[in-house]
Amino acid sequence: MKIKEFNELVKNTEPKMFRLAKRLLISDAEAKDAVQEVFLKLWNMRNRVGQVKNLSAYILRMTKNHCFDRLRSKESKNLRLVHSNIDREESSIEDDMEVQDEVGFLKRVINELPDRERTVIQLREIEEMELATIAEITETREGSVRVALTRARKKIKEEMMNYRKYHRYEA
Amino acid sequence: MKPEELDELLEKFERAETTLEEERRIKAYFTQKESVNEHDVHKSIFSFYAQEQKHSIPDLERPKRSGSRSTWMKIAAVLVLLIASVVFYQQYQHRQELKRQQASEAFDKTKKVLELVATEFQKGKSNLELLKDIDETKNEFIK
Repeated sequence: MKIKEFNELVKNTEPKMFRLAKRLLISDAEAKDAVQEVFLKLWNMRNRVGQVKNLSAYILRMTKNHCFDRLRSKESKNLRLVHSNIDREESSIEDDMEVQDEVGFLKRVINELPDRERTVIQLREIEEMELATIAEITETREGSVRVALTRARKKIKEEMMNYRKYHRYEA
Repeated sequence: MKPEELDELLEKFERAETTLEEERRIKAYFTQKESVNEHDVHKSIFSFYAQEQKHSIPDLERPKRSGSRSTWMKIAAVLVLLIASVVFYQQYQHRQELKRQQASEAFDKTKKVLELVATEFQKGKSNLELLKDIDETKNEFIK
């Protein structure tokens, strides 16, 4: 793969990668780092990249795996820092401010979904991908993608209805 | 879209049985039209998704900006270095010149002193000739 082709690839897949990474890692900076690291990995294996069948799905799978790794290592760090919840307090203040509007609340509902459901929601509702492609990216069967999607859609709808019940009824 | 059709589609949607095409129709319905009140939850959900689709990397410009700033810093640093080295070199040259002058002055002085010593020594040496005469005369008498 030549530099020109690689740059083209970066341009086309970067937004999708970033959106997925941001959905999983929440922070802009971390999502950006994730995208860069995945591209670095891709560049290092650029000679083999040409043989991949569905390159876009392949790259998103790499992105997903990278983000899951990051989340796992963050989780273990959080366990170690269980007694200092400065971070948590800060973020909850931020959350409270965001949650005052419905979009903020919806964002939080999605961000609090299990990682797998979040991935599926991102790929289906926002990137509008076929279930088969999503299955390829998440390394599961189409059936489990459907199950995750059903659960996530139900949760999102119910949470939003609850929010409506306890907050304003604005149109 | 008729209300019954919409309800049916939404049910299918929740079971994740809708096709992408059907989902696009639902999205279009909720994002374009003023929808019925009971579906407002869907309206905010689907508008949110539509909004998120446009989301692209927000701060790709930031490193560029800081990059240009750092190039200016680099240029400034190089200029400062250049000026400093020129000034330093000139001072160094000046000091070397002074040293050379002082050294030649000192050399001249030393030379003069040595010359003086040499001439005085010559004078002293010519006086020593007389000693020889004394010695000879002394020898004549003592022998």
